[in-house]
Amino acid sequence: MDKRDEQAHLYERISKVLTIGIVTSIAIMIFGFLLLIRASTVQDVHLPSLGQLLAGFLRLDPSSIIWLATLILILTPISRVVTATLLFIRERDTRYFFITLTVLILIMVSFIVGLILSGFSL
Amino acid sequence: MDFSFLFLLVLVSILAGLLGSMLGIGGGLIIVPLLTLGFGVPLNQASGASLMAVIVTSSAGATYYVEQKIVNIRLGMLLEVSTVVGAIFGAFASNLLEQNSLGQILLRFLLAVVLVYGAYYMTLRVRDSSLQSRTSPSQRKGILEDIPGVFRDEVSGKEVSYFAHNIPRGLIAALGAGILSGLFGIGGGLVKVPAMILWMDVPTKVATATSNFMIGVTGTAGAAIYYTTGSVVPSIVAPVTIGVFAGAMVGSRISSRVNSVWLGRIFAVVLIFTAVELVAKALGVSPI
Repeated sequence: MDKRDEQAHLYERISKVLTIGIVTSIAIMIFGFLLLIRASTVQDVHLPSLGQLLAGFLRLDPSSIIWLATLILILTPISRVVTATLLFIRERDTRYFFITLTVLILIMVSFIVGLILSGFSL
Repeated sequence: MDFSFLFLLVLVSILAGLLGSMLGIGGGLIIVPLLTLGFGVPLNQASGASLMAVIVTSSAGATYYVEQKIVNIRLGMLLEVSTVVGAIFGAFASNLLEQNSLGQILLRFLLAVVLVYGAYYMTLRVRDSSLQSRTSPSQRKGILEDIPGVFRDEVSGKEVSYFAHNIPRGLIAALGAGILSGLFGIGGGLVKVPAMILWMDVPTKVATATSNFMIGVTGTAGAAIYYTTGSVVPSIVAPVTIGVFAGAMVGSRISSRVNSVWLGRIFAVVLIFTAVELVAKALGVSPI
């Protein structure tokens, strides 16, 4: 593949990942929102654990469903960076591989800082 | 759940998304003060909801731009290093400031400044640099060397090649955009776009598309901190995200048919009033 095809392929892949993520997340969020309108009382859960989230999802708890939608939502841009990293590897662009890797690490740092802020313990 | 409250939230969010996309300032800058002043939503919860809305809108917009191969992914990723750092810092600072009354005033005062700048930004026509772009790279080498790019201009049908210059200055602007994004849950495009155009000689279209592409990633870094500080409230996030997204989708389609100059002028006045109200309320409510 010449460099241009490679580039076109890169754009295509990123685009596909974005669309899937957004459509899924918005669909789940609309579903959760409809349940929210129907529900008489809603408990807004702050930072549920993954187990709580899944349990809530199974009993169609609107709050948990919306939480799940936001999780997919914020994972979408991360997948964008991962895709870019992989494609820079394929293009053998070491410099940009390390740059995108740095972005990924920084995002992970943001999650860790967030967890520390919330007083999360393992 | 209070149906009328949710319904009103959706309606207001649609409006914010619509106006934001037509005026080029994004929905976040409109929805955050609106939720705080109009609905009494705490600023950090308003920012948390806005951040989610901004991630959706940016990602949906990015698919189009990426497909059109306008986004400069290398430029975006390099600037992202500094926006992400800024977003983490901003979200962290926002959380800390919101915990005491002096910090709350400072935060609202800052948001008011951003609103006034937003008003100025909307009415200002940033000159299109695509024609004046310097097409040669500078002498800088290494990680800060100029980034080349090519895109196909829809209007002329020609391929335009350019170099993104002044990477260090761009990184500083991106840091500022990231901090604002973390502080208020906005996209920060109104800082990045003019910086890319005026400082880095990037064509307007590429600057807008690349900024939009970056916003989702920046938003995620900020969101991670908002999540864990309890600022992401499902019953606010859902109506705001769905509403802003729907509004932005419609807005981006009809924006070419609307006289955005007058709309921008009218709305600039609204933003300035909002800024004044925000400061007045912060000073009046807080016991100093």
